[in-house]
Amino acid sequence: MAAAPPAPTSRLRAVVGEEELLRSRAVAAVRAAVLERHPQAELHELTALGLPVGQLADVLAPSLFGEHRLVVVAGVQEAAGALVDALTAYCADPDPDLTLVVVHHGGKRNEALLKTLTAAGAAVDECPKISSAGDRAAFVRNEVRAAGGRITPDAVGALVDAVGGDLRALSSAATQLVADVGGTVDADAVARFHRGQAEVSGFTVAERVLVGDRQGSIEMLRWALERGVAHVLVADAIADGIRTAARVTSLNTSNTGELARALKLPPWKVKKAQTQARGWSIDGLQQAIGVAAELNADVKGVAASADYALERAIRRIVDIRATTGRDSRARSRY
Amino acid sequence: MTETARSPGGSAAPGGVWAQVVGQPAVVAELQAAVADPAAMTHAWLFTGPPGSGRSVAARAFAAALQCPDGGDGTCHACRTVLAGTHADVQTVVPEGLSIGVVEARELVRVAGRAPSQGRWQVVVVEDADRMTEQAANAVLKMIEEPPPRTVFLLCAPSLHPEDVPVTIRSRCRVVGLRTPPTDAVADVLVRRDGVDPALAAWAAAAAGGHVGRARHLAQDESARLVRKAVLDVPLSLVSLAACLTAADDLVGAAKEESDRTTAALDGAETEAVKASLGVGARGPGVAAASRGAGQLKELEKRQKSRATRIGRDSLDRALVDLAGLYRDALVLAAAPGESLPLDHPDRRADAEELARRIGAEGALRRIDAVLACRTALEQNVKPQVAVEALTVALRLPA
Repeated sequence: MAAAPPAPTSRLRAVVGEEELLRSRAVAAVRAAVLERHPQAELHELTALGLPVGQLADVLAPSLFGEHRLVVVAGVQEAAGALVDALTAYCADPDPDLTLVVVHHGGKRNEALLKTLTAAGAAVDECPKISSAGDRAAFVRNEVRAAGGRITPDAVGALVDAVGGDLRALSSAATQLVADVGGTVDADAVARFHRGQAEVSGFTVAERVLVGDRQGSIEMLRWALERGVAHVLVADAIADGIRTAARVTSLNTSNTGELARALKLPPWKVKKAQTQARGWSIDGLQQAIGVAAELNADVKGVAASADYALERAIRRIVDIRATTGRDSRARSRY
Repeated sequence: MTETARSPGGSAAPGGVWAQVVGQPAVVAELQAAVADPAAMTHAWLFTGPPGSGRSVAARAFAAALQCPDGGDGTCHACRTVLAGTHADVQTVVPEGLSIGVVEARELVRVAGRAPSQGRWQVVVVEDADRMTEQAANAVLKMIEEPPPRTVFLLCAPSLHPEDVPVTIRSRCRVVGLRTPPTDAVADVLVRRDGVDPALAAWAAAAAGGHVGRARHLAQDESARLVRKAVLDVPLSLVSLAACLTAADDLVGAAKEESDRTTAALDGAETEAVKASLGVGARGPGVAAASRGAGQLKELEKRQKSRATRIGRDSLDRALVDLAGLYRDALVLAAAPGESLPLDHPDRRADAEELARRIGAEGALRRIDAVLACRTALEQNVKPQVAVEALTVALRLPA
């Protein structure tokens, strides 16, 4: 994760990506490396938005005392045209006594400047957004390792659930846990400090409802409502889940590609719906569609309490699945 | 409901302005008496009746008769301008969106306060008065109760029950109840007024179930007939869950398509007109000031969205009424097989018989309930997709 120390020839660096934490780490790494090499270096950190070209020219100009200089220009995706031109012109003839770091938050704007930088031999630090669960878990493991500890897989899951997807929060939580526990972080240790569910959407609830997890779905529902997810969104997600499961079940094929074409849905959604539809009978799905429609009216003002309406509908749907399902005995543990 | 005969064109035939009012002799007599005798006149009238019975037509004919020096001969300047909707002293409020809001209602009060400029009365016609919000109804209460001496309110509400209009409004009005016009009267007016072929007119009048505007639409528009056929084909096609879901998709899709088609024609022109009046795309001094009109555009978009929702909902509602009619026919056939009671959809008798055989009287009754529940759900703002899917699943034929 840490940026490679700048090679003596690399007087130009580009830090590119949407992930704020990784960007600031990359910049910090460059700063540390420069300071290690030149303890007397002058530091200039500037924001591109509204930066006068004159000020940039000022810091890029040779210093009176000939010291090494580090210039960080943050947020160049918002830079004005003149500033970009000034930076481009500088790239053509970089000063050997100056390290220029250009920070770009990703996206299309001012992308040409990045191309010029790389063409001029700039080292690039990529800081892409971490969106998949696997990457997030890997990030947590790395953080814990960097802090000098180890973490068990179930603890990683529990920590991501409880803290959410924000990398800065995850990083500080991981570091804190290692400091508190010292050594191996396990699920118990996570549970002692972090509890709950940071990111719940209607779909999280719907997923649990469809697999017939009574306890889990009610728990997720309460978390969702506690977090301020709108009732309508939860109801819509449940209706959508049931509808998709019904579509998948009602057609006489289990070929994912064929279903995706027939239903005009992306294959991953079909696959998910197929998993969720397992254990449902046609009759059960029909009843559940009725419950979902009633729920939709309820959350739009028919019921006196939308909270209650949601919980009742979820219990009813889970009951329907348990009593009419294809393998109703196997799931009696729920 | 929107396709009610709202724009009675053409000149008047025998009966003067009253010729437009189809199959309502009692109502016509009552209104004529009010025009003739000041003692029988009152300041606010509420026209109720089932959709398509011609509430707004009756209200407009009444307005014409009030303005006409001869009590509605149908030939003078006053009658013609009222019927064409251009009379200066007849204000018509037609809600295009989902409701009549308080702002419109206040404007209405302002207009109602004027003295008539040329005619004998200042007439305010509110079509779909049931769409007034509670706030709007409250805003017009005082005006309806005690309007200026020459002002008269004519409110229309599509309902068999005057109770659908807020009681505060209803108690201030004289209620005129229209009935469903008899089929032959509707067929007759189609032939006489619109020049429809008599056989087609008879079929359309019977298929529309006494809804004058609908009958004309069916008689004149081939695509309307196809849409109706598609809807009435639904009940016998519901043999599996997949078929139910497909039928629901089709119903919702057809409604959306109609709404898109209708609004596409209107929205573009309206938006262009507002943009032009704001000077969007113009050059020169004052352009910067014009960009402040973004609020107006947003307001327009909001109104257009509300109208699109309403058109889609109305279209879906028509389909549901047709469906309920077919199940009603099945119920009639199952409960009284020997008797020849009139059917809602006489041309689909075979389908109704097949349904009656498969679901019986009880099944038909349950399905009518389901259709009505779906209409209620749509009114309660349930997502059309969700509501209609629940409906078709409830309508599924037994194996």
